[in-house]
Order: sequence, then structure tokens, then C-alpha cells
Amino acid sequence: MSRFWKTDPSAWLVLVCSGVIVGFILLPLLQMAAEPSIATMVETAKDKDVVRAIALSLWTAAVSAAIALVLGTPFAYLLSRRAFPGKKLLESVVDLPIMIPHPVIGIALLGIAGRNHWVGQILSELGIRLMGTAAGIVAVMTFVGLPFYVNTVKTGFDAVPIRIENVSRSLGASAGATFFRVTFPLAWRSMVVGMIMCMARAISEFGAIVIIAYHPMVAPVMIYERFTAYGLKYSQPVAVWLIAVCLALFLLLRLFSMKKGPAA
Amino acid sequence: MIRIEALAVRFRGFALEDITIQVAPGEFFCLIGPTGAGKTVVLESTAGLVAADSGSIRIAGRDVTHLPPERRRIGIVYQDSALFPHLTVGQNIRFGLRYHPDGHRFHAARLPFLLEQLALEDLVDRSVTHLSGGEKQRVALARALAPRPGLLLMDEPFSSLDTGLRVRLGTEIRDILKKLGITALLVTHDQAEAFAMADEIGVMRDGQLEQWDTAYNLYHRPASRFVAEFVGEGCFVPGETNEDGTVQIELGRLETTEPMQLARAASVEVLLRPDDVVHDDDSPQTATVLRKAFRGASILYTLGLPSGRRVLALVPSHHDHRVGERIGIRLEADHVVVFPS
Repeated sequence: MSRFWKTDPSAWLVLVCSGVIVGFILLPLLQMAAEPSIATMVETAKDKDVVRAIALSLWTAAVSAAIALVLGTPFAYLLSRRAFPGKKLLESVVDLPIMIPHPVIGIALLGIAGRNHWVGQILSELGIRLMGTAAGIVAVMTFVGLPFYVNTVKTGFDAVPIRIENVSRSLGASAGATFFRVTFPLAWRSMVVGMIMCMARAISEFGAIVIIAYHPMVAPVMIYERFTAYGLKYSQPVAVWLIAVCLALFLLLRLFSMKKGPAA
Repeated sequence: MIRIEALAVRFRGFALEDITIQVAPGEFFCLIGPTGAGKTVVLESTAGLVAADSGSIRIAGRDVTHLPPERRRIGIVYQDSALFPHLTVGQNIRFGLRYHPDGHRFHAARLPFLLEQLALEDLVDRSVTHLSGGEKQRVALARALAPRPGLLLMDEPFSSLDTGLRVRLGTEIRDILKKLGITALLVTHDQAEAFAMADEIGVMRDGQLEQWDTAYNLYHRPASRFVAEFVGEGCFVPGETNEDGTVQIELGRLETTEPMQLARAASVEVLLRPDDVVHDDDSPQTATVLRKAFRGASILYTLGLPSGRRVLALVPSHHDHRVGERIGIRLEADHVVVFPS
């Protein structure tokens, strides 16, 4: 390593660029985390509205990750295992929610949720309203989180050689038994990582949620409201709590899904 | 008994046509051919991994053409062994037993025998990730054999191993399969491997079976020019067929014991194997050594004839000649292989 720095002048360019990027990401975050005093943090934690907003963010994101797990796993498997005409197109469709501006997503979803659209009619038959409800928040979060789940799990399935599944089939295991005895044990970590990615994306969503459901208030909407109404000082502690809770949760999940013993 | 009849598969721009193979129980048969000839497609459609468009496949008397892989009672051994990395050696080997009604009886009676035959007894509780290449292939074989398949399919099972181990493991596995009476199909691009292991060999080319025969016949009685060139070594030299059924070439007259399908007095191409040309100091016929390849017990000489054509000669290695030297040669061919030129 040290040799690399000595022999290659361009190494300094690499070093400087890397430093700028890491600093650019960490500096604002650390600054924000350092700003509020311990007393303010404790006080914010006692604020019922703050607790309710963070809890809402967490459980709606968890529900959207669960939906992604149920719907996204078979779809990711299909994308990983089968070649069919139009596959590239389908993969681009999956990536669309990443490209579309967030408020546009909110407006688009409202467009099919209304009474003059058949989807809206079915939803109202079922007694589900999206406008201003937790169901609406979950719908938005699932929309923006699905691409992360599907792509992560597809990569996970890609890493399981199809020959291993073929061998399992030849030994007498049906397609379903093969999935649960071979593919799942080898790919479940990618599902956990996919759910973490999906949840993280869901919790961070603001633009689409604010259009579909200003109330009930998820944490990002509350942070925005407090910022516009009271200013920076008042919004920072909520933001720090949101980040802290999310980091703790994701670290826990990561630890849980880590390989036991030395990596094979 | 394995019977593949008029099998046709169209698959990712590749067409397999009219493959018919019949193999007696307990036989070991091979498919060889250049890359892209369709060997693996035959194996995969036999396994049920690729659907057949027409034709039928029977394994151990059952028509399995439309059955999914799990109901065909087959075993597969791949080049990369494809072991289940999350299971131990023992768990890998026992994987298929639960799907067979008599699985547990075998577990008691047959598994120790398999483990002993394949020298796996001490590895049962080990993780499969740290095994050597040879050990992995033995585990893969034990796993495939444990549920007693009607047919064992092997796709280039030894090509990731080094030469010495490949030959040893090949012989070992052939012995075990013969002992157990398992019918097996080996797909390989290595003809030496096929020659050493198979009872019968099919040569494939462009999705078709060119010839189905014993190793001896593929070598000495190739049915087509493709088989003649693909199997073994040799050179083609021009010749003329005579009225009396002999063939005249530059090196002399070849007598055929087998009737030829060619018109008399026609121009032909004659296949000369390296063992058809023998070194003989007393022979008036001479050739120049152009190249030599030492093979231990013998030397393969590439010889230039006065006409400029080349032939190969396999000579015991104590006859060590220099490149550029002229040596006496003589024809000694039991089988004359000719194709219309």
C-alpha cells in the first residue's frame, strides 16, 4: 500500500477525491448530530408527537418491506432464473420508481386511487382510502422501496448456481422443495439486506408522502414542518433521533444476518 | 435399459435433431464432440432440465419424456461438483434419500458401502467448502448414487482435476459403477477419458449423432470424415482404388479386408493413423523427420514424404531420430479407411 503512494503520483489525486467524498457525506451529519444538547435530545424523546411520528415511519416502512418480501421474492426469482422476450424492458420498469421525481409519484398514485379509476373503486369497495391514511403512506413507501428489494434479491439469486438447483431436482426434490432446502438457505441474507434497503428508502421518502398524506405525520414530514414553522434548531433533534433509531435497527438486522464463523 | 428415440430439442437458437441411443443396463456410455455439438443438451434433456420438442426418453423401462427431473430417478454429477455449500458432506450425500420410499433402508444398508468405496468415511461431518477437487467430485458422486438412480449423468466430471487425479478417479468411478450395476452417461470433450471409461461412445456434431460405436471402431472404422478427423490422430493422403479392391497410395498398396462402399478406380482420401506407419530401417521407402513429440513409451514423428505430404508415425521411443534425418518406413495397416475425395 505504502509503495503505491510512493510510486504513483496519481495516487494523490485518488486520495484527495476519496477524502472529499467521505468528508462531504460525514461532515454535515456529524455537525447535525453534535448540535443539539443532551437536554434537548431528552426533551424531544419525551415529545409524544415525535415518538408517534418516528413510530409511524418505522412501522409503515416495515409493512412496505414485508409487502416487498412477499411480492418481490418470486418476481426477483423470475428475473434471475428465466430468459424471456421483454425481460430488459421489465427490468427497466422495476427501476422506474428510482428515476421518477418524488412528488410525481404521489400525484400518479392519487390518479389511480380516486373513485373514477377502477383501482380506486376496488380499494373503496375494500374500505381502503389512500388520501391522508397510513395505507397511503405504505402504498408510497412500497412503490419507492420495491426496486431496491427486487434488485438486491435478484443479485442474491444470481449468486446461487442453477446447477445446484438442477442437482436438487435430480435427487427428487420438487421445484418448491428445492427452493426451501437449497435456494432459500443460500439467498436469505440477500432478502434481509433487500428489506433493509427497502425500509431505508421508505423511511427517507418525503416528496410523495407529503402529497398523499401530510397527516398522519411521518418523521420526515414532521422534520420539514418544524423546520418551516420554527427553524433549524427545532428540527435538528427530531432528525437526529430518526437517524439514531434507524441506524440501530439496521445494525441489528445486519448483525443478525452476518455469516457465522469465517466466511466460506 | 436407456432408450432415447428420435429426440429433437430446439433451445436458445440451437437444434438437436433425431438423436437415437439405446444402452443396456449397467453400461457406461459417453458422448464426445467439439464444443457446441450438443452433448450437454442431450444430457439436460435426458435429465428433464430442457424440454424435448419431439421424440421419447425411457429410463429403466419407464417413459420419462414428460416427467419433471425429480421423478426421473436420475443422478447428475457436474464439472464443478455443485455441492450444497450450506450442508455438510453427510447432509449432501443424504439429501435425496427422503424422496424415495425405500430411502431409509438404503440409508442403513447402502450408505456405509458407498462411503467406504469412495473413501469418504472420515469426511462425513466436514463442511464441503474446504474439500479438495477430487474429494468434492467423490461427494457429488456419492450424493447422486445414494438414492440409486436408474441413470447417472456426468457432465465433464473430471475436467477441473489435474491429469494424474483425473485418470485415477476415472478408473475408480468406473469400477464402482460397474460394481453397483449403474447405467451411466458421461459427456466429455476428452476422448482419452471416453476411450478409457466407456463401453460405447457417441460422436456428436452440430446437434446430430455422427456415429455410435465402440472406441475401437470409432478409431479404426470411422463412419464419416468428421469422425475420422475428430477421433484420434491421423493424416489424409490421396489414393486410387484398384480393380482388385486394393488402394494405391504414395507409400504403396493397401489391402482391404473389409468390402469398400466406393466405386472401383476412383480417387479417394486415405486415412493413415500413426500406428499404420511403422519404422523399418530395411524398408526402401524413406521419409524425413519434420517434427517429433516424445510421449514416454513412444515418439510421435511427423514425417515428410518425397511428394511433400505428411504422415504421422508412432515409434517405440528407443528409436530416437533427429529432426531432418531420413528414416525407413513401411505401411502396416489392418483397417483401410477411405473417403471419396
